[in-house]
Amino acid sequence: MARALSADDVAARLRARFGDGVEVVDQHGHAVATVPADRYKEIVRFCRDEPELACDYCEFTAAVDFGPERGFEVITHLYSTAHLHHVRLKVAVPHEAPVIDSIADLYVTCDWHERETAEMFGIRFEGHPQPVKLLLAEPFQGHPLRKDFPLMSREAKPWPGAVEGEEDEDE
Amino acid sequence: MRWCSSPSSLPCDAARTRDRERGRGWALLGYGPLGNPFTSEAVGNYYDQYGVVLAVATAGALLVVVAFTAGRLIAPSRPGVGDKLVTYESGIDPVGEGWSQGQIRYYIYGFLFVIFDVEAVFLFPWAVVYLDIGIEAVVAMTVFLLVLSVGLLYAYRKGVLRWV
Amino acid sequence: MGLITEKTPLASIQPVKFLLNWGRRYSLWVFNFGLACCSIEFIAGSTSRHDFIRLGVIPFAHGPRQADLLVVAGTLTDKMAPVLKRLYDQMPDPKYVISFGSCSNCGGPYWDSYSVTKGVDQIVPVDVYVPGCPPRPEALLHGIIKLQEKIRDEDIREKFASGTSAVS
Repeated sequence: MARALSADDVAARLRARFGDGVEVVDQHGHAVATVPADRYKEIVRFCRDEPELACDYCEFTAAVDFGPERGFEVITHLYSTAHLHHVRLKVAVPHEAPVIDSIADLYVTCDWHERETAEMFGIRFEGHPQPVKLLLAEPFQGHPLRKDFPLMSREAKPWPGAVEGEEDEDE
Repeated sequence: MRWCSSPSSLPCDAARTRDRERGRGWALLGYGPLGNPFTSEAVGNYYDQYGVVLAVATAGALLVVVAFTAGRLIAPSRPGVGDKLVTYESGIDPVGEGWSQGQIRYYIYGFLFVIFDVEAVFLFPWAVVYLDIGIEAVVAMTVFLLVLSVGLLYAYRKGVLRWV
Repeated sequence: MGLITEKTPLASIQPVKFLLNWGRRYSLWVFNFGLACCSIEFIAGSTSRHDFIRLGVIPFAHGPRQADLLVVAGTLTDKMAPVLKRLYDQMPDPKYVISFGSCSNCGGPYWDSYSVTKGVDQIVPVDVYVPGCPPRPEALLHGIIKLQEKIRDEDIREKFASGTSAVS
């Protein structure tokens, strides 16, 4: 029987099982859980197998680069087609040792998502069956979506317009 | 319906009468369904049709020869530039062999087609003349068709008529 | 071979040249290399409203070996560049290239990307550039007419004598 869980219900279940390392907030009706990296795979498996969570569909696995102090954040968005609720997991991964467990054996679709995240950010997914480049050309070197990756075109000609985050005084 | 192509403008009976009066012995045998085949006019008509076929075949061959020769003369040719001779596989490196294993069903299909096509080749001229020849032609063709249908029944029982 | 066009100066005589160029420019078979949004405009150009078939350009050749016009429509990424080069090589001479849209002219709005080839003229020699993002189908018709005018004024012997039909 389909019963969509609210963010608080998801929080209750996750914290009951995994303790206080998990923090859950509600963003636009989705439960967003920040989880520690060492329990990431366990928590994903719990979300998939637990009958009340039953997240059988992985929408995407991606990453964000917050700079050298904060490091990367790997984001996995899960959805339950039975109960029609979303669960998003965020994992902080440091810049110096960007390694995290791969969930490609839990969700087959994450295979390609993790390959793309790996080539774009340089994060290594432990246990991934085929960690080769997905989208970038074979001879490409570097990890383009990192904040410190220089765009050659922008080195030659800087961005002429407004930059997001820097307000213009006339605005 | 009697079909007689008289070599002259006279209808069959009148032509027969005329030739008999002129004392031509073979006129006594009567005209067959195609009229008298031995006049030079009829012989000319007989070969005319083959001439048309020959002319069409020659024109077809000439078309191909002229097209390719014109290409040879006019089109520039750069045979080995870059990747020109690489097997086409949407631009990526081709994998595997260009040959694939043929399937037995195509052979069976072609084989049965040839047999029954040859049967049809015999049926077409028969269909034109059987009314003139009479009941013997019908009986003979029926026997022929029955023999061939035994072969078809055998093929059906063997299961080769299923497209698997 | 090209006995008439390459070995003799017969192809430079005005009547012969006119005839050969006329035949070549009104019977272009296009191998549409549609990569992104510009390919939709290309397809729109092939539908009945705009219809570049009436200019003699027969679309959707079955492969590069049956085409003599390559229309690169859309963004060319670095991963796709060798594919484009190979398909261009597999076209028989004489061949022409139209670069359709700003992404294939110069990289377009993605000129600062890490993976976009900024202009297909780095890979293949381009005859006509059609600007726009995306260009309207009328712009494609205009580009084809410009190419036909270019072919009309072309001396095929010069084109192949200098051996510049392919970028090395």
